Amino acid sequence: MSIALRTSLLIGIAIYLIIILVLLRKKRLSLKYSLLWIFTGLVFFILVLFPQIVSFLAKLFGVISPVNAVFVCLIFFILLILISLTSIVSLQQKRIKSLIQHLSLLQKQLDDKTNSK
Amino acid sequence: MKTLIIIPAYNESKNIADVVKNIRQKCPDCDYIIVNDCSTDETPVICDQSNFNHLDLCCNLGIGGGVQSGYLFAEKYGYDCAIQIDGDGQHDPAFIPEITKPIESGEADVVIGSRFIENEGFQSSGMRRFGIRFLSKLIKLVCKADVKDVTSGFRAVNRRFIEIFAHDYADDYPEPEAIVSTVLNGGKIKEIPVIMHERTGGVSSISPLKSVYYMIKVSLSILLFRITFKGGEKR
Repeated sequence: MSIALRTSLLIGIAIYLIIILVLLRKKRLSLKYSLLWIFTGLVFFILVLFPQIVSFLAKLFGVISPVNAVFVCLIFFILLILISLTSIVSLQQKRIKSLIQHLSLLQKQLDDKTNSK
Repeated sequence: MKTLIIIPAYNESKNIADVVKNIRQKCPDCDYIIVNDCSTDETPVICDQSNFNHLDLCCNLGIGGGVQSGYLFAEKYGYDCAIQIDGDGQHDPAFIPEITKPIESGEADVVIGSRFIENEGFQSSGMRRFGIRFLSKLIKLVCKADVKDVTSGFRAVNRRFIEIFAHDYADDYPEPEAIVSTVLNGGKIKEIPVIMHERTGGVSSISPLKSVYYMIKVSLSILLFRITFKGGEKR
């Protein structure tokens, strides 16, 4: 990787991590869900510090240009984060469904009580 | 035997009164509950005015979530048997005693009212019958259950499966998946011939255009359900 690419990546990662930290400070992001994001940032930080890893990965994947290996890593982590998001949404959907059902049952119980009085 | 009839209803203002009238006439011993899945028409008004026993969901959950609410109700109030019957008048309550009999005798855990045993009454279109036959084969393949009318929503369920379905029931097109769930949970299924009618009013929830999507989605979810099923899971 060229020095120019490494510097710009470094700046990019720094901005990315700062945004996450600011959001965490403002409590707009819960720690639980930010871990994967921070981990991704750290992995890319290591890749920039030790570009040998990128060259190694490029050879391993059969990618000609090392920059493309960076892209492959990036896409991998984005997919990982997307899957975790879908998992979070599914859990929430299940909980919301359960809330609606129990609320409706309680509402009915209450209505039946007031009606019979 | 304490029996509850679950009637999921979404925009069924044209049919709901007849369905309840039929049930009261033909099975006066059973309790019933209408699960109004946040209908946008007059359904809740009719239920209120006529003093029908009904549960109003505050958000639309779809057929699976609606029926499951009925199972939760049955679980909460200690029913021994729950019967699912569509809110559109397709299913004739006159068959209820017949489909509850195997539950009462302990012969089966889940009883399915089927159009395709004696092939009487409304048989649905050829394309749909083909789709149902395909799903039936698929279900036989994944769990060896021999059920012909896999999409029938006319069912009776015993206490054990009331509790299972109250905690785990598919969301969108739950009928075929519930069959697989029954078998994997070690339940016995019995199919009983019934005569179904064409719906009397309103529109069916499954349009022809959606059918292809339905088939793909249901087939996939049956396969995935089988692959990812964890036996003996604590609920």
